[in-house]
Amino acid sequence: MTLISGYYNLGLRALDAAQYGLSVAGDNIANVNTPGFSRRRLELSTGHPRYIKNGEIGSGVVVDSIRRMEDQYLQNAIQLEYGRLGYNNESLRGLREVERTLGPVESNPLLEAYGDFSNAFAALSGDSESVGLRTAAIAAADSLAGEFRSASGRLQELRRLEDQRITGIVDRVNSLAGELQELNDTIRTGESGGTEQSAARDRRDQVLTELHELTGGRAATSRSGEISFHLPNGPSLVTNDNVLSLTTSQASDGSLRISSNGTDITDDLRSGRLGGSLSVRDDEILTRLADLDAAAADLITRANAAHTSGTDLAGNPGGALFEPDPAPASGAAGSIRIATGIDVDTLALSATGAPGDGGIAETLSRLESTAAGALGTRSPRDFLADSFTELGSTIARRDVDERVAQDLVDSLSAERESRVGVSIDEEAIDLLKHQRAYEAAAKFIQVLNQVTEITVNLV
Amino acid sequence: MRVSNATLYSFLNRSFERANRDNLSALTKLSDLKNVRYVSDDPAAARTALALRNRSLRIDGYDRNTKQARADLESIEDALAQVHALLIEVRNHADLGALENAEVQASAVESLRESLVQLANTHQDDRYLFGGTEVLSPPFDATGTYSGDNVEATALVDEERSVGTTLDGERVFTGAGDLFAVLEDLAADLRALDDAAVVQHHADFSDYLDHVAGIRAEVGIRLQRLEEHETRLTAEQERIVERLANLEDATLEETLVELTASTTAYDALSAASGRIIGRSLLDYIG
Repeated sequence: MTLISGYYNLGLRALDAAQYGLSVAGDNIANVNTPGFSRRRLELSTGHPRYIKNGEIGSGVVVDSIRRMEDQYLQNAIQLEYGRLGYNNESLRGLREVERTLGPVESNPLLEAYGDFSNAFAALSGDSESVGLRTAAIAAADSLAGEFRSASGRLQELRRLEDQRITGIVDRVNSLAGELQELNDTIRTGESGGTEQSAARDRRDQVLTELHELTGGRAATSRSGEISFHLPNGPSLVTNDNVLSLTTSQASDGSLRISSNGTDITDDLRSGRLGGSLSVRDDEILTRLADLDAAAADLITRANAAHTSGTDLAGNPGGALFEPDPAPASGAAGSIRIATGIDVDTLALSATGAPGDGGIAETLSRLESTAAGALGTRSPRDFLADSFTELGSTIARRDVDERVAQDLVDSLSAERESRVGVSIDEEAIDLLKHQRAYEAAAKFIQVLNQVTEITVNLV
Repeated sequence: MRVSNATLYSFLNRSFERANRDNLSALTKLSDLKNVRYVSDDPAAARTALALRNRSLRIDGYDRNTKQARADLESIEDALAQVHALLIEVRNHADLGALENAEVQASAVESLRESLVQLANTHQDDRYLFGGTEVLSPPFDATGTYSGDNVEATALVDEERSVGTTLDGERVFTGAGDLFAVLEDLAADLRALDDAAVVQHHADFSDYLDHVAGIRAEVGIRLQRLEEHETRLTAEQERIVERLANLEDATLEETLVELTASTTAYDALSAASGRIIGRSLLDYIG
């Protein structure tokens, strides 16, 4: 004979289970917009039955657990893709800034200034003694040197701005690394008692996703469930109990360097946002600066060679047209300027000594279109245009890469969401389901009450 | 596939991002009607456009040089026409012979000789046109002695093309005989009533005139070629403008169609989103 109190317990457990169900649905609905939230599911099972002569009588429902939905494979895949997306996104941003710094196709300041320089000296080729044209040519030369300095200065400024971004990213990486280690502790301690630390796991997934996006590193899970994080090419950021924070320092050229555990790892970081920003600073901007320096050095070398072979209006031999002379091995674009002492009288444009001869002016006007060995046997005009085109092509390719990475992240995220995301409609159905279950359990207890009352009235 | 609310919102977010990007792109295009602003918009087209823009800029310069060279050569041509007319006038004096008014004739020839020196020192914008590349000082003194050089100043009128904008005065005025000396001798022979010498001078003038006419023709050809070159530069500039337009520019019609398409897509997306987001099973749970 079953005690009536046993049935009350069965009803009570059913009420509890329905309440848990409502609570889980409510929690899921409340977190529908919470980033990184994985929906929870109420895990129920049948209570241990009681055996009677001809069978068994169930003892109701048992709430086993509230399980956090997760798909570790997809989560890992998304995190890896975030590394690629972060790199493409960050480098694309930087590259576009470099491109805008160098000017639009319609009015590229450097190419226009070089064209004006050539035109000014071409005009002097047939009228080399004209004071007005000489003044204009000196202004054009000064303007060309100014455009080289300006372009170089703007690129240097962009490098400094990238340094600031890099500092910000490194700070964020260190902060996330510290948080990851704390979350590892929380999860380990909390789950040693058998309770899943769902909120901490949600947050840890978010932290890992952001770390992947920032660094393009790799996570590894230990047997005990702790997650360590390694930067590209090996260095650890978070191990079981340690956080090896990144440190920054300034190199002799003023640029920011990143170290891990005392080792400079700057050149190894070429993925994630950090790698994207570093590649803009150390690869793209430096390449453009080197191209500008090469073009400026070529201008200094060849213009000065021509000018010093000419004579001015007074018959004196010409000096350097541009400084510094000779052109420095690097940094020519940032330092080029018209030589001290160059004026309308000292401009040495005659190849023969006669004032009406403009042989040197003609040579100077042709520099822009004459192939130079130092520029890979290309003319400065083609060399600079090729450099700008190379940058534009890189941006166009990176733009495609970024869209592909974004599509992949979106697709994987949608796949993951289909497993772990919250659907309001689904939760609404769950609400109805548990509401009905609660009503039924309550009704069951009401019937028990009536049965009990009948029994009591028999006495 | 199970669709979570986050997936739905994320999809809508991306769709609105794309729609807004398309709207912005159409609006930006409408503001300047350009397809290619930066190299990355279309690297191949931009590379060609950069080369064309440079050529266009240089053509502007060469066009100015060509016009200046034409002005110089037209001045030379004018001066040579006057020299030619002057020599004809001198020949007329020689034709009249020393028969009458010899002194008057001789004085007239001497006066013409002075005019010839002035013509030989023709200048434009303080630039002497018959001194070769010695353009800053008069190439001939009163005695007709030449102090210029025998090289012409040249103007660059295209990448690989130069044109002489001054003349070697020595070749012009002494190439077929020293005109200044000839005129001086003629005046002396007129005064001396040396008929035979005057007749000989008259005969020699055909050579002098042919010589000057030859140089005029040479200058005329240069001018003609410069005119043709100027026309070619103008035509090339027009072609460049057209090619740049084809490479870089968007048509108004095409842009308006793009804008209409993007705004229509945006409106449709907004309407659809409103309908989807506004509905949930929760609305039906009482």
